[in-house]
Amino acid sequence: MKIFFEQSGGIAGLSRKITIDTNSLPPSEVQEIESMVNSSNFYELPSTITQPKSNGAADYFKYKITLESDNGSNKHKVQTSDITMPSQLTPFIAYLRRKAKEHNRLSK
Amino acid sequence: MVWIPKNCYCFYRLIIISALCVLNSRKKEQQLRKHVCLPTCVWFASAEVLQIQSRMSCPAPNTPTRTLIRNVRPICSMYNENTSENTVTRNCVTDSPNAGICFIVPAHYFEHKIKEGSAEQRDRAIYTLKISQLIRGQRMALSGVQTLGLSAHAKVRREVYDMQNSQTQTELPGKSVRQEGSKDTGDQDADNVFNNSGTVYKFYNEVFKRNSLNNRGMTLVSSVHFARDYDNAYWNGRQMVYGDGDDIDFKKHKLAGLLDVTGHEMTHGVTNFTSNLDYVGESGGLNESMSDCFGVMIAQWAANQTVDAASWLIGEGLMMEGEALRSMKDPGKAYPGDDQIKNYKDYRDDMDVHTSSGIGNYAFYLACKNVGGHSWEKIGKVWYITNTARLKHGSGFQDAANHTFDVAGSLFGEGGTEQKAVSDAWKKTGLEAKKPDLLANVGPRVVRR
Repeated sequence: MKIFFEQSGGIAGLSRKITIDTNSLPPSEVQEIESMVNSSNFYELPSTITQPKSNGAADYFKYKITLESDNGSNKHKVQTSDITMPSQLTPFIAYLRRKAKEHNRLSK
Repeated sequence: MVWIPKNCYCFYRLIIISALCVLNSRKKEQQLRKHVCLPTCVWFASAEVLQIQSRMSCPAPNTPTRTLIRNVRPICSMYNENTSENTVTRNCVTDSPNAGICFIVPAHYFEHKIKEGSAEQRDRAIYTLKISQLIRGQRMALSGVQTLGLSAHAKVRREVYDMQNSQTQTELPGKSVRQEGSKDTGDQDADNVFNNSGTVYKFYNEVFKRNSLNNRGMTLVSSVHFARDYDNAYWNGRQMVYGDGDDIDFKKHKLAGLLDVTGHEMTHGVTNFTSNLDYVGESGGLNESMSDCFGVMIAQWAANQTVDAASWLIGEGLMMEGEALRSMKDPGKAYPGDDQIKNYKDYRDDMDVHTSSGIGNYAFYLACKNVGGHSWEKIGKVWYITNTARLKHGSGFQDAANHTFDVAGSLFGEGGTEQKAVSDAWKKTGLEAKKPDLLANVGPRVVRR
């Protein structure tokens, strides 16, 4: 499975991206990911969970997550933000934020 | 056509409230609201006053009243038939072609409350009268307060919470750690946010006579330690939220520690309650710019700095690499890779709002430099009035140029130094400031949310 993750916006307007190929990860971490994907009901989530443009909030991070199976048959993308993120997705986003931080600095 | 006596507020309120009480079932209540209020827009300026925007009892369309009410942005409660919910919005909106605003309560009612009422009633009455004055054509909230010769019982109310590194939105605000009157927590982030939000409150109150973000004394709620190693601070529409930083991109303790960052976030709150600029496209860039302009102004005010002595940096020392988050005197030069623009010709709709904000930031910086002295005394006032009383949710940079130009003329004299300072500043960002068409704000507008 491939995971594409992007964090953007925030007070600085900087982004951080990462692509993770789970085939390159240790089995325990793959299991951890699968558990987070399942408990977040990822494939059932709507593809856009964002707020209306005029609700007054500002400087929050926006997130894009795409999961794609190895043969490309199963692909799902979810866009959300700090404010609209469903609770069950929080651990998965926290994990992806941490992974992205290990590999990439914030940039334009 | 139903006639409603304009000066009989109690009578009107009594009808609605007693009818709602009698018809206790939700269904009936819905039906009643539908009949009484829809497509009306009801807004509560205070507990004592219930003002109805209605096709039944309002003046003819396109009266000056409507023009001004659009600038004031009252808080509205709209009943949604589909969801059976009341949505509070700041854009008093109705698709009724005859919509206007009516004053059901006579001014002397509030004057009485100011003299005889409790402290809270007095505050509310002053607030309502200020708004009424605005709507009735008196130019600004600032002059409104001076005319009254009274000031509201402005008192800061702060609450700081600890999210204990949780990122779950439903857990906000988190564990209560400090409120008004309590001692230092020993947690530097919580204490800094507490102190800085007090300074920002004081700035808005002393310089612009504003009582908190909503001008009605709302409690300033801040949460620290949001998520783990979170490189950000934000306004979620109700409160301020601060991350710790990670010492990789953002230094730790800086987000919660810098006065201009808190000023920036709290100004998003002020914008939220006034112009409510959309957070996308040009309005988003303008919204961001307002937060930077007031963030920098607050830092200068607290240090009693002149425009020549100030650094004009936002988030100085926050980033691990680079001088600051943004430079208002030199947009695009704050850190390696900074792509903030300063000329409107470079604007594109797909830009991040923190990139396009450079246009407004640079105009503000130049206007302040052109006038000299203290930023908050003249140009700051122009920007404050523009954001709180002139711009609307979809306004862009040209609107900002036009309205700041017009407000500068109104405040300091048409064709005067200040007005010229403003138009010269916008010219350097590629925009020609001209007299705004104040009637452009008139007209039915439907906001669906």
